Amino acid sequence: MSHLTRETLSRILDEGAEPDVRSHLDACGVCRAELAAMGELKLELARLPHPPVPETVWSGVIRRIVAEGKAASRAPRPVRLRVPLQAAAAVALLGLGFVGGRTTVGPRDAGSVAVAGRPETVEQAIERVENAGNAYREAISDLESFEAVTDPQQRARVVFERLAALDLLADASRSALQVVPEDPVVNNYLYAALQERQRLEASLASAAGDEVFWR
Amino acid sequence: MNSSGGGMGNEPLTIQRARDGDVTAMRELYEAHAGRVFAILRRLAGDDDLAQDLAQDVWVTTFRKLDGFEGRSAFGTWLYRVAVNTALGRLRSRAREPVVEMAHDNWPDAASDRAEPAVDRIALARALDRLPAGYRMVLVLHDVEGYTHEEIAEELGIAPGTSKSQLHKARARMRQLLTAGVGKVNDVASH
Repeated sequence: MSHLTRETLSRILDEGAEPDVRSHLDACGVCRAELAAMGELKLELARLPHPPVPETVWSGVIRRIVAEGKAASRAPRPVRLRVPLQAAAAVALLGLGFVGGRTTVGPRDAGSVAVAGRPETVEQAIERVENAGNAYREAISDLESFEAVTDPQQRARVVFERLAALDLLADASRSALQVVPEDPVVNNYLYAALQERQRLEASLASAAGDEVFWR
Repeated sequence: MNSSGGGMGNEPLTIQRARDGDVTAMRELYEAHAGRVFAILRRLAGDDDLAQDLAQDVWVTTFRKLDGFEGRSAFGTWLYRVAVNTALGRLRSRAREPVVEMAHDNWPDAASDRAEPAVDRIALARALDRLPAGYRMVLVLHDVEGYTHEEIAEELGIAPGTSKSQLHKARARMRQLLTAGVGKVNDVASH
């Protein structure tokens, strides 16, 4: 006896069997068994459990969102990133401020967002973290005109500002991580800041040849 | 199509907070829907690395476009639409790749009239990964996600009849792979 093809059996699952095919199925246990197995396959496909979501997905997403924050000053509707309350609270509790003894702050003084002393409220801590983010975005905005700047001192100032803003974010993140070391958002802020700093250094070193003038 | 998925207590408020750039709200939306979104992408992609890339694209696109979500449908429905569109945008060209037939079709074989054990889900998932991309996309969209052939045809830029034909070939290939033992645990080495 010639059997039905699997493609035909699949079609029967969705559309039913013509009379002649039905007659064959009535007489053929092999084809009936295969039809049943195919029906089970269809059911099991719909019941497949969800695979686990790798942690790298969220870390990649937040890294890209943070990186896009640098375009906020140019966007019609800026994305305003806020760190979780617990991270901001951690900064407040530690009272470490954001500068941490940096000496590379440029003339416009990214230290203007640096805070001496302990924030009194969580809201104040959040505001300070946001200020650090704003300083970072301003520094990036300045960098847009970087290529047009020919004066070495002015070029150095722009670079210092951006590096300083990145350092502020990194320091704020490190401070928070002392209390909430597992917080994925804060970890990703730190990672993004360090990566961006490294990328900036590499691109400027490449642009300036062997002379890395801002060091 | 099936668009059910995770939900949350006050999703509209969470969406509004996420629109304002609140990372915690973004994380809440992610946690509520990431499992189902990743499942769709993983099955369509047939590959872990590609699925992770797609998932990042989907979530970044979602947070970028939150302003465009007007709340006419459930957030989950809108999100899964973004997910499928993103995946198919990357995978569509693979739907038309030529299919290499297996060395021999084992149907019907000596074992065909024996009672079959219950389908091993691990083997099923592995066999799905082994399908040609075009077969896999149609099979996942139809049998897992509940798309109609007309919807699949529109998404993939093919005729509805082609979608049907691909589906039946896909199921046949799945049976061929499963009865040949492809996808069983002891088959890992041959991956």
